[in-house]
Amino acid sequence: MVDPSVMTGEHFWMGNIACAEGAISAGCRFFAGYPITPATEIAEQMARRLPQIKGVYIQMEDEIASMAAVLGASWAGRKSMTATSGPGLSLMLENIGLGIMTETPCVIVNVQRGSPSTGLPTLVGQADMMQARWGAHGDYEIIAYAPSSAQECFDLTVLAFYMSEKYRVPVFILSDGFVGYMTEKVVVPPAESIPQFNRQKPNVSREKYLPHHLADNEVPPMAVFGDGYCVHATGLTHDDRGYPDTTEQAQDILIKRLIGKIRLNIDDITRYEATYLDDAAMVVVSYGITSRVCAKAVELARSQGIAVGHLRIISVWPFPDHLFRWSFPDVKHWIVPEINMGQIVREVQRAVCGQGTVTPVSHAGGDVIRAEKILSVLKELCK
Amino acid sequence: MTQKETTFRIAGIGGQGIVLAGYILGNAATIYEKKYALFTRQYGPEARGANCYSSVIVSDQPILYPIICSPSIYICMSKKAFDADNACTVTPETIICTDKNVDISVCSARRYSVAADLEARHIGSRVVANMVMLGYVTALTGLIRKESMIESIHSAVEQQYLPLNLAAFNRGFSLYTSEL
Amino acid sequence: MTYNSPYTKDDFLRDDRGPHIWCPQCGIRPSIQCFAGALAQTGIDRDKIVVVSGIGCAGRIAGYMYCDSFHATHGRAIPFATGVKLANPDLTVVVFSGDGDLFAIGGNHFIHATRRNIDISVFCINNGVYGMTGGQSAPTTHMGAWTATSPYGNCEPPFNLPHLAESCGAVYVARWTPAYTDELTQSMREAIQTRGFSFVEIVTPCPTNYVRYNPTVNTGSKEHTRIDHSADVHSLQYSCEAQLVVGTFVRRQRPVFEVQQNNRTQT
Ligand code: SF4
Repeated sequence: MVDPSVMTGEHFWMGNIACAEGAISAGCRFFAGYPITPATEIAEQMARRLPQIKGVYIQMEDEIASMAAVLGASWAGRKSMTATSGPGLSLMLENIGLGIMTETPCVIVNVQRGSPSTGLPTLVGQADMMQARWGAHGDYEIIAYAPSSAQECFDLTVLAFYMSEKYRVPVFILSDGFVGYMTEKVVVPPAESIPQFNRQKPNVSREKYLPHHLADNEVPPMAVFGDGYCVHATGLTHDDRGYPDTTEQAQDILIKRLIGKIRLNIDDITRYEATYLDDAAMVVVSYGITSRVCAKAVELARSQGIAVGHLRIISVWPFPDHLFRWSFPDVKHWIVPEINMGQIVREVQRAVCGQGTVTPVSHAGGDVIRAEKILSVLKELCK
Repeated sequence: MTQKETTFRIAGIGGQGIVLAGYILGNAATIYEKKYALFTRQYGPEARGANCYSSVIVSDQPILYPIICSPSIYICMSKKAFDADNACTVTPETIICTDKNVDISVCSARRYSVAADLEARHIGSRVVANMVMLGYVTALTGLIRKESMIESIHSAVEQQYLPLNLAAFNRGFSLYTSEL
Repeated sequence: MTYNSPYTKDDFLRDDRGPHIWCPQCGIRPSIQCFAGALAQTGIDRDKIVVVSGIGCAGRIAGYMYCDSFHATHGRAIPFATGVKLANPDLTVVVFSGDGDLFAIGGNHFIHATRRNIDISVFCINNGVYGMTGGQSAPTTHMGAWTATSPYGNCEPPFNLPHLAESCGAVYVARWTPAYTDELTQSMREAIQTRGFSFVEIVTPCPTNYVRYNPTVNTGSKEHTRIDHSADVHSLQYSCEAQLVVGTFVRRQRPVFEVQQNNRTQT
């Protein structure tokens, strides 16, 4: 049977629309949000589409409420998401932390713009990378994917839902104002070939069910409201029944498990693309829209005889340290262009651990970095 | 890896349908010509009256680099927007199409002056000057078939405004062919 | 009154949580007993009931109810509950929290959920103060009252909560104190069974951190209160000295959010 919600075929979509359609194709049936440039098209598309497919759209009074509603809908059994930009994400982070603590699957799209504060509402930025990683208070691991094309906005939103359901964690799409509006061909595959993961349900009785019990670092099955398990979930540190247990011992067990379920599965979560890495002593590291520019710079450099490679990180969080340390040990120079004053470059420095030099190429925001600028850095390093 | 890309820049002010024109062009190439297109837009925060730009790259192969520096074809609907365009530069090779009303000081061997605004008014509304221009450029470049453009207009324009838009597009197309 | 229900009130109280956290004299405990009784009286399938709380002393209520329950962030119980209700309209959703949580940090959510007429019930323990953090002034602290953060006497006028709820569009608005066990139980039952946004204020000043320093505060005993269902919510008194008027002040009908949304989607 053809699933009418999946728009199988070829489309000419902007990244924001592709995000919305990716979510719908992944089974998302709840969206709560608040208008903000440059993410509003996602909400608008959801407002049009969700009522057609038995989904629910609501525009809340602010981003705090939006994120709270998304968590509520997830606990009521729906795949749910929201979309925003930096100022909105600042408000959402309170409840994203609650989502992490209560292991609530959901997806947050952040279409990054120039920042801080109100910054450049209509123009591109990539400066919320660390905010996504550390913005909610406390210690946690998160998953984030950074699309570089409209097609990836679709594909990675599908993947984000997959991972959020699998690991019971909020997952970020770290898009940006350029990718969000960039309009390109998007191929939507047939519904049956779109990977879907639905959170596991408990297969024991109410009396035996421990919502946060964990064997072998697996993700606990999730009974949602109405399933008949009388579950309790709290943002307080809790025991395996979900009841508050505000002790050092409970904290130790809980936090290590929440972090462990991501860190120990990093191979499953990580996505990247390596080009020309075989002969390269010098490698450009990129993510999001900057990848498109870097790919061009690398082509130009190679046409001029410079043996440079390109490592495109698609899953930004958890940061794929292992790639730098183990997969490509012969690289001597890493070059990290990004539309911020140096965020992911720090992660690269940490991951490289002194085994090579790391050079940032920074841009304060408002436009993408030009390929020529990256090329000139590469040439300089060759001298 | 070499690829032949044709790049378009459309400059105007808000309300002139600059974004729609860019979308229709890219959509025609992608969906109805099975080529690749990449369409970006830039505009100021104001809803009306701000400078507004569309950039469209058309290629037979996937497009990597999303930036246009010197377009193959520059379509200028407003002097103010053209003068303020600091993202793109016009070279002697650039084909420039301007509205007849627009007087810009730039040299190009291949400069075309199109009575888009005038023709649009004759057809019924100034707002379809963008379609007159699209029709003209379609005929001029021969890059995208007329039928593909018309299909794209069908998919992008609301039913009630279709006749007006199609008339404008066809008028622009024949403006060029009658010049031959 | 007898009710045809498979449940008793004890079916709604978790018995595996050990001692609860509240002070011995606190009005939250009897309020929960009324709440459990009200839930039992409705006869609604326990598996389809969700209780959501925010943060604070009353924020702990969700954790002691035997049904699906969620302990949200400070002030965010109502938008969380909104998500729950819209995602699964078969669920009966009750927000049970405190005045600081619902009307200071969460005030914006309250007015919007009320305006939208989300089909949930909101029960508010109004203890006049931030109890859990040791007694700081709240939007419901009486004028002139001493709290740890109003050491010269509170200078802000408090909210008239029934009036606020009424003016935003709540379809059921009541105020009681724990002294009115039967009335409070019945009011909670009615609120749960009312379609649309219903609101019950439970005035029960915090003995530990408020009444101790403000002995003249009206604690809501029957002698200091008066039932008047027809009282005008606009002019309800709420001060240390004045008699407290309790009752069910508003009962009306208004289409709920889902109905409004579905009607528009289908046309
Ligand atoms: S501090 Fe006050 S409100 Fe909190 S439990 Fe004690 S008496 Fe009740």
